Amino acid sequence: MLTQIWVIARKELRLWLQQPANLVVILLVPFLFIWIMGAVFGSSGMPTVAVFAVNLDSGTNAARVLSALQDSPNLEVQLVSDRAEADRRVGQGERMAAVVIPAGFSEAVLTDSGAALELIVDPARNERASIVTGLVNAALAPQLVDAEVARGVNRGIASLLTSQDNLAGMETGVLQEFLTAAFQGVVASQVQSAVEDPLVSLNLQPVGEGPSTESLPSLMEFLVPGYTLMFAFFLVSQLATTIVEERAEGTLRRLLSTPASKAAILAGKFLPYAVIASLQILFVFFVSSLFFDFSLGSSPLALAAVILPIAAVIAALGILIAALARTTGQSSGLTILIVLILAIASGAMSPNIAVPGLQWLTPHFWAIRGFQNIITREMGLSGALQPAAVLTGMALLFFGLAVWRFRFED
Amino acid sequence: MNLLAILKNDLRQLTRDIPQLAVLFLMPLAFILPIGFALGGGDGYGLRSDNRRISLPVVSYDSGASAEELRASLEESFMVENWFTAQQIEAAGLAADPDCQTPGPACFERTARRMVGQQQRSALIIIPADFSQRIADGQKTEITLVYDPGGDSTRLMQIEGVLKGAAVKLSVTHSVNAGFDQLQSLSAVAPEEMQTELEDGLNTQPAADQQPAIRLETVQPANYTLKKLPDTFQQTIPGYTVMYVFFLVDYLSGAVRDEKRNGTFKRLLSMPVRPASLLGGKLLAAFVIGMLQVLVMFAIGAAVFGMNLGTQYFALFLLTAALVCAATAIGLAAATVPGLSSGLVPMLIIAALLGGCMFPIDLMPPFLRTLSHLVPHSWALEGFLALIVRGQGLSAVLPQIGVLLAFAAGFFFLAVRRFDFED
Repeated sequence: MLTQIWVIARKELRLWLQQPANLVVILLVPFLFIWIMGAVFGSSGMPTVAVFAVNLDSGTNAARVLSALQDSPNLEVQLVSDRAEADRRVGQGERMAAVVIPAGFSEAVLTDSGAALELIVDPARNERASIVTGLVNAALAPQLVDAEVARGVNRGIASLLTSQDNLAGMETGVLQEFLTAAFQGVVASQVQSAVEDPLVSLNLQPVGEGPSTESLPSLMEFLVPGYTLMFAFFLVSQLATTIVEERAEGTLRRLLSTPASKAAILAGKFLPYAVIASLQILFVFFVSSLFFDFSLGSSPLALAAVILPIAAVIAALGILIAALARTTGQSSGLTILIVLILAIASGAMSPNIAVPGLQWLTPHFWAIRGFQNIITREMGLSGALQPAAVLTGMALLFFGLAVWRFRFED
Repeated sequence: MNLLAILKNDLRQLTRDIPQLAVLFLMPLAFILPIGFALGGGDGYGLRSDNRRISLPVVSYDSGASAEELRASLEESFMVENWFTAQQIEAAGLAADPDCQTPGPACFERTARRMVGQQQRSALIIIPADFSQRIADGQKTEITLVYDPGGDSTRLMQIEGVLKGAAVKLSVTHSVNAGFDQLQSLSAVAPEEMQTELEDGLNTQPAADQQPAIRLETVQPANYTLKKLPDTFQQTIPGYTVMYVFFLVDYLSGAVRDEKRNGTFKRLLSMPVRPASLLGGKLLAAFVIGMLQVLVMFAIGAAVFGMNLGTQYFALFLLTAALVCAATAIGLAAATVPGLSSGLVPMLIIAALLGGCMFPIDLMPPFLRTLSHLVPHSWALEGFLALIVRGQGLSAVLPQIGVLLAFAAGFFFLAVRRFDFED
């Protein structure tokens, strides 16, 4: 029996490897997906936003604000010459927003009513406007402190300057410049040290008994397991389509005439795909750990305890779908349906739109929970046990249903 | 047999193929419905402006001014919880806990920690007892963020970011005040006639109606045509619609492949039908399905979620037609590439991601933004947004329609050159 399974499995594996497209889909595509997400969100989870900027003021405050915007790591600033152009191009959706520094900005900063920067936002994307306002405000924070200080200093020396127009033989204008610069220097150095080494620091503590950490788990550690699983499940489609094609060509029927039992034949189909799925998940994890801020946890055994049963679920599901579908069109339609619905409902595709309740039924959910227990929660083998048990149950259920419903000919 | 009969036949076949129908029509809904109902809007990547739904327990052992200021700045971004109800404490299994016999921050902290451990909250924040006093004295102090390491990382980053900003703000305010105090002591060395004036000046409070020195005002572009602000669905439904229309590529190439395998093409070739009209029927069927897909998606968007479709129906029709033509032609071309079938859907997902269907292209780094022009998705989406959201007319989307038709023509040309009825 074991030799029969092995012979069938080896043949399957060889056939799979003969299709270069399979390898591309399974290994390259998930990596591409993760790479794009990584390029967008970076390790900070903050995307970079491209905006236009218009400077209609020639003063130094305006110039400082503009260079603060240009220096911001999360803003990609493109200068345009006038406001009408910014209005037009944002209105057409070329960029999400434009920052306008209006004429008279530099002087207005020092008045009681302050100065306003205008942010022209494309209403088509007003949902995401908060990202732009957040990033612009962050870039402006040091300028704002500077401006407040300058204003405070001006206020402080205003009465002095109005009471006497000639102090210690100096022109008031010269005196004002000198005092402002001197005072600003004092306050600014205080502020600088407050920004660099704030009085209030943040202690990051994982819940439970663990020690404090330097940083939060990276975005990649959160996203990569889900994306990997989403694409690993496309193996379901490859397996199901292969079997349905073989049935249509009559190859399956011929297998029945060999002494191999029905279950042995199906196990021979199951094994190579379970192996491929395991290797795929390992490969994507490994490459992600090389290129992105992604760790593999400290327990290889625990990792294996989750990878093996989820790979078994993938292979068993492939056979189950082949048992239910009659044509390749159906099997490919059915798998896309299942693969995508599972990926969405479980939260593997985008964690914020998981369907509560339904996600408990998806293998993805349990596998992701297992990977997170191991990778970010660092629970080791104990964190893998419950997900592994649920996944093994699912794999057995799918395989059992498949053996029961499987037909070897049309 | 004419084109229409072939079309009718293809469509009839499709209605018998339930999984295919489900992929083409139900799948897109599977995307929209969770977004619509579970979250009341958003894009699934936590980029929404409304983050108030994130509940954040803030345990404060201090009632001083700085602690209150910190709490206030957190309240701007999150739904701050200051206390749990007796039911919540009981649900956490802490009703009999010694800490919880008298209500107080200790019980609150224990309950919050338990809830974070059980993944009911992402994190909790602890403000120590001497927080405000230490800041007033210029001494270092610490806020603790207790978090679930396996929790939603985007939320945790948001909380960390807001907290860091608030901490820096508190520190800066303190040091600005300290700086002014320093100035005051400096004024002691000033010439005597200046001293009183200077001190008076430094003690002057800012005018009550004083505005921040720099503020940011959000405005709409001038001469904007749309009066009503767009809703979430206008911004997300077109993206998913475009993504799913391109799943036609998989449907069509699968259908052509099946026909070839069954030898139906060869058989039909012996009949008095030209091969081109045979294929034409298939293409027409795919075209009709694509148009229906968009119709269904938009109709459900409008009926269930009250999504506004704008007023440019004719332009909308032309754009949709161009989009479906492009998807159909690519599907036909895909059918001529052997061994591609199982890889199509993953590739279509990547193309949709790149084309801005899942999150806006503006958030991509420049090289990806350039690359996004290579996929038809970005053009179609841009067109839909212009018509539905920006309320622009046909003339505004002519470039998009043109590019989509060029995609269609290019792939159709490729497909026809490579297509082989006999193989």
